[in-house]
Amino acid sequence: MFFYITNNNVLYYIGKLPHTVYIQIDGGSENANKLTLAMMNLIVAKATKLGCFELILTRLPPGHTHEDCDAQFGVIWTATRNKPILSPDEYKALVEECLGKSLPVRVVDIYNVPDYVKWFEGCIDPDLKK
Amino acid sequence: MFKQTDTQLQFKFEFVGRSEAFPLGVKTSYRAFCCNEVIELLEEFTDNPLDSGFRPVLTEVKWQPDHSQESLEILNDIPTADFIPHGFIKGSRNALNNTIREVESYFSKRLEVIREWHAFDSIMPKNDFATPFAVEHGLYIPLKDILFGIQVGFDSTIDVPPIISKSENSNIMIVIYQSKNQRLVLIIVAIKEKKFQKLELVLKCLI
Repeated sequence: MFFYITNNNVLYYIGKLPHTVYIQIDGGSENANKLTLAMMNLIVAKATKLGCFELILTRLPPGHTHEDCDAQFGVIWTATRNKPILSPDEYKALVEECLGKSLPVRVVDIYNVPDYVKWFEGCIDPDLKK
Repeated sequence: MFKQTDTQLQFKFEFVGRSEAFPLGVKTSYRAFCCNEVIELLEEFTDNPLDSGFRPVLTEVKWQPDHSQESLEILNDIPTADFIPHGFIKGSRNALNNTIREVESYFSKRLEVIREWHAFDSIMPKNDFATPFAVEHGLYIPLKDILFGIQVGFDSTIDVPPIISKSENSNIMIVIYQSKNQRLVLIIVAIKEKKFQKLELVLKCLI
């Protein structure tokens, strides 16, 4: 669901989505699954009013090394290397500071999310194979 | 890198407008790799002992289904049911209590750290049940009105039980038996419920 939340943040800052959205995911089953495809389908079916008409989902092959977003984790790792973090709020402030140098960044606390698996139940084509 | 023959690495979702062929207005296609050409190494055995056993082949990567009026079927329909919250992991509240206790003990002289943790604790769920927390704080649903419609709400009548983690969802089975060389063998097995009876049968046969 990361991409879906990311899109929400893109909207927060620029007010619309790009015509074509590219999404890169790791090939693990937590990303590469029917629910992800269903959500992509739903976004394109519904988000044309936001300017998104095409979405390309790329799954990294088995045995890959790093994906693009790993570079962001590298920045966080460097920032925390010599600095002890004693509370969740300190960590939040540090992430906003170190990643926010080139782009605006906000950390959103998410305590509970809907059960999307239950929500899509019965609507995903039963013939869609793994 | 190695991928299974049927694994598809790229999917394309295009808005094409609603029609008989595309009831939701989305054409979905896929392809095996994310570039137009790839070099695949195919197994090939020859009599030459110096051969590696693989032959490089330049392959063109095509989108499937290639017919313009066909699409990979993913959604039959767009759901309209109300949301229910995703369950919390069983024991998560207890884990947080333990963490707070450790913080209070370790940082007993740094009150500002303890205060920050108490503030964090005050907004966290008070138990492992997701529904009451969602009633009080709402559900986090990005792009809710656009993607799901304003008519889709939150069903607070369903109590979502805590989720039991995979490691907890298992039985411990202890088997003691005498092997052929007269030694006593003790086996302790942690196994998931579904496989429990099957293993029990196998062990009975062995003994």
